[in-house]
Amino acid sequence: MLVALVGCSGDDEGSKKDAAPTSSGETASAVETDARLGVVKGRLGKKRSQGVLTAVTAVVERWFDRGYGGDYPRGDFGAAFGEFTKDARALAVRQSGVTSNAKVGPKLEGVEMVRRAIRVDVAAPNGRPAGATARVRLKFTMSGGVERTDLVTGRLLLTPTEDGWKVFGFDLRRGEEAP
Amino acid sequence: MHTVIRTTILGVVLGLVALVVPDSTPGPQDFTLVKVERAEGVDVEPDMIWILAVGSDARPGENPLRVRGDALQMVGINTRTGAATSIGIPRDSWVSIPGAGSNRVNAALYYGGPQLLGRTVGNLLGVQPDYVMVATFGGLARMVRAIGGITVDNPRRFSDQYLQPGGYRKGKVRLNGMEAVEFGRIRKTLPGGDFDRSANQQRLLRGIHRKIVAKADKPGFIETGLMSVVRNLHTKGVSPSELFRIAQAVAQVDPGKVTGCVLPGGIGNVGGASVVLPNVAAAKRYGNDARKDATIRRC
Repeated sequence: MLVALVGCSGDDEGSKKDAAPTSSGETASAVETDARLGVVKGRLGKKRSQGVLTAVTAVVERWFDRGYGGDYPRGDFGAAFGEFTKDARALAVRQSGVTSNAKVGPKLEGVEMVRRAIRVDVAAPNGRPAGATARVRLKFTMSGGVERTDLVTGRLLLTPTEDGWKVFGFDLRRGEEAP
Repeated sequence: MHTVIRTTILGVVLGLVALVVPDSTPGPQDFTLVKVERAEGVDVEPDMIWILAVGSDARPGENPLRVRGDALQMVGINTRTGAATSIGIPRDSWVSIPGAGSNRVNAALYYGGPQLLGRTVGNLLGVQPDYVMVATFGGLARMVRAIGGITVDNPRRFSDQYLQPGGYRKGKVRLNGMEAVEFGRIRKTLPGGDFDRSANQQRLLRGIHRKIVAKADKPGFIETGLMSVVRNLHTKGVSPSELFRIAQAVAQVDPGKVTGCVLPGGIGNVGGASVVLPNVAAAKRYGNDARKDATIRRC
């Protein structure tokens, strides 16, 4: 069953003018993600800052879509970590109950996204991006064998590589939200 | 929220104190981070990072990388589990220094800089550091001040008529600037001398780390720290992105999974000088114990 997606509110800190164009586009879902620049350190300039925001947001959105969104029921969530480094991917798979819907995926009939928000902090010593922290907040409602609303919050840690921005670490919490 | 499951991990990574180097405050020589070239050595698990943290007793005008290292702590971080451990090496430990015969371990910095000191301590423990970080006492004081002071858990009251006449009371003690430095320097009035001083240095590291963890969730904290590090730290062979991963690794260490031991030994006499004769078997045991998971089960 296809996911139904709802746009999210934008009540976090961050500036609207720094919002990134978003394109989740992984499934038939076109989720509106509230993505903004957070703290930018270093002389990066507006255009390049926006470039980092767009690139990092795209990585995070693909993780959102492949890890929690998509068609259900399903049991394969390996694609969720395609932009994680090798070691980070192995660790994410080991913690897949938090980092994806892998543990409940086969029982689900669908997932409805409620909120997707990303704030991107960037460090750019010497005018070049060296690392970014994506602070994330993802809220979604599951239906089928599991009926509940979950909230995933925390940080993805990224550095730029020759193949684009990669997630090398994460600090995530997942909890059940009261209805 | 009813239930919370938390996962904290880093995949690729590295390790230590670098991110708390304050912005603009230290002098350019106050902190140096050196990546150790590994031509030989132990097979370290990819999830592990080892950093030799060195307090350099350099006086103004002296090169902090070519004096005697005064505080020596080998810190291991398991980036997969968030565990960390510190092995304190008494400064006067009499050891073999590659290419320089036998001497006090802290003389290795004088003879061959951070690389030689790293190899010397690495040979003693059987675990080679990936990095050597050298901080001057003045730099450490400014760093502690810049992060707003730290709190340590002090097991006994002690003082020093020259360094800290008022002393430090037993229990949780808040330290700022030079108070922190002296806490890690005082030796003569401690019952265990050099060994107790090394344990106090570990308490300082824990205090600094707790402060980092408390601030890590603050937006831009790591990014601000990285900028400061790049401006103020001498980084030899370490890229900004690598530093970013180091900083994140430190912030991800779980304070509840931090262990520490001080290398035991006896007091000896070499050429009329009092030295520590380290328990080499214990050194190897600590290294073996912590090598794969940054945890020492028994000191």
